[in-house]
Amino acid sequence: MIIETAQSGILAVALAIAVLCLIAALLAAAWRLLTGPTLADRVVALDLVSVLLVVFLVLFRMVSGVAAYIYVAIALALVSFLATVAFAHYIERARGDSDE
Amino acid sequence: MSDWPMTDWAAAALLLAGSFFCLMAGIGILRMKDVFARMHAATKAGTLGLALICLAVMVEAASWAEVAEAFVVFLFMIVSAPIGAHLIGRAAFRTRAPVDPKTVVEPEAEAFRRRR
Repeated sequence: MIIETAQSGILAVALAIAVLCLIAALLAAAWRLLTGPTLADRVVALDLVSVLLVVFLVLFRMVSGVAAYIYVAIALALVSFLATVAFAHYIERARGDSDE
Repeated sequence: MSDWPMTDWAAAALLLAGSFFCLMAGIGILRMKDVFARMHAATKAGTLGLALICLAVMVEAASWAEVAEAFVVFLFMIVSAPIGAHLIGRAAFRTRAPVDPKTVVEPEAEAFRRRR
């Protein structure tokens, strides 16, 4: 098995595929975060990264079998919402169309 | 083949469906043309992707407390995601983020934009 999990059988296979899909989506969002043409693109990409990390933590709660990871997911969901609101505020205050 | 419990099959199907939506959000944010289309793609991960994967955790949960914890994660995300998306979309529109040339903007909406 690619990833050592607390689960077995068909569930371990599904968890491995899900983790690989999430890593691919995280890389895509990171690419848009680095190269996004406008500031709003970067904020949307950062929002997607934090949402994908919440999904990843919920998934990792199943992979590891450690129940505490789901509390980390709750805390990250709380913090990332505040970050999105703050960034939206700073986009409106920024000068010009985009950041270049 | 059939010595795994039925809940494992259900949870595996939910996990694959949820991670498929997350992968589509990642592909969408790379391939779409402007900010608003990228937001449209990116919100699939926060709603459907997270909902299906939380549902998989609920199916596999050992106790009702774990079901409630997975539901709290989903509930908070479904409450906060529309507010964040609305604020980003409004900020992008008001700061005149470039849009796809085929986009039609109603003339009344121009009054909502920030003056240069």
